[in-house]
Amino acid sequence: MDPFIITAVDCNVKHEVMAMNGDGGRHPDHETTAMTFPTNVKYVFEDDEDLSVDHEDEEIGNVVVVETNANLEVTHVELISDRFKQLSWETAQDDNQELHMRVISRFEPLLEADDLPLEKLMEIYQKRNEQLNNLFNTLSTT
Amino acid sequence: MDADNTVVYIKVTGRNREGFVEPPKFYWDLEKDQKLWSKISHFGNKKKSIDWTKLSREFETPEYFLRKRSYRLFAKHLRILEREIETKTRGLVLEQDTGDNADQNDMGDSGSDVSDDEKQAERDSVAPEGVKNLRWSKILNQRVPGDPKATDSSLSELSNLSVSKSALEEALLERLQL
Repeated sequence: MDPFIITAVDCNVKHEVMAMNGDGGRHPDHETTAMTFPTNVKYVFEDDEDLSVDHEDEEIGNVVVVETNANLEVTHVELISDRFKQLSWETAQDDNQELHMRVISRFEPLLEADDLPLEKLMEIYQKRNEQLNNLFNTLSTT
Repeated sequence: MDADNTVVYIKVTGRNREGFVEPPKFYWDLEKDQKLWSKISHFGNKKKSIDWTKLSREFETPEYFLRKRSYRLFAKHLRILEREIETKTRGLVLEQDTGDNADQNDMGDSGSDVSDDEKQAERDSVAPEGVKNLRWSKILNQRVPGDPKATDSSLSELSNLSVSKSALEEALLERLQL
């Protein structure tokens, strides 16, 4: 059995602004600075008896619970966090054990807003509206 | 969300551990990802193979992660190239359409006294030559002047790239031993 690989993309529009101000675009997998890699992964099998979930020594702020069936196909993903809200998840088409999550972090004031052209500000405004709609939809289904 | 502030629990239903050893906790971020891409994207230029063990030591990251991540980066890179090729192909088609329309207008102006039957006969007599030019243009990968199908041949060359891309992806998987 291969270990899982998990990636999470923060859909907060602030990352687009950061990427616009940076020198990005040379890397194939993230046009923005929004991709993160939760690589602290623990496995719970049917025959595991003692499961330790003690994280007092660590600064754990987000917990992701991934449920799979016996074929290791992901059936459910849940994010427990004060800072992020899960929008959606999917596995790679060619690899069941590669999980890709879309999350959204807290909205923050855009510090660089003064330097942005009106066109870009309107685009950001539109995206935030879409994100709020997305959030509203996820809240109404839970 | 990284290895320091996030923990992921994978709950496997209906399956026992069967000796599965959990991979160690490691740290991976965009900086490392960029670095990995800058290293593996030169793969094939000079080096014939990737020394995963060395990379694993260098990045302090398990090999399985590096291999899968490399494959994903290459696959996405290929997809970006594919999109660029599609855009360029579309541009060529548009150019060709514009050229054809201009040619038709020119012919319409100058050949208004030629009957439709005569035009068809002329096209039929030119056709074998056009086919020959098309073959040559495929071989030489050049546009043959006066042969409107020449662009089609370059387009078919471009569309063949998607086949090559899949083959490349398969070859890549094999090389990455995934």
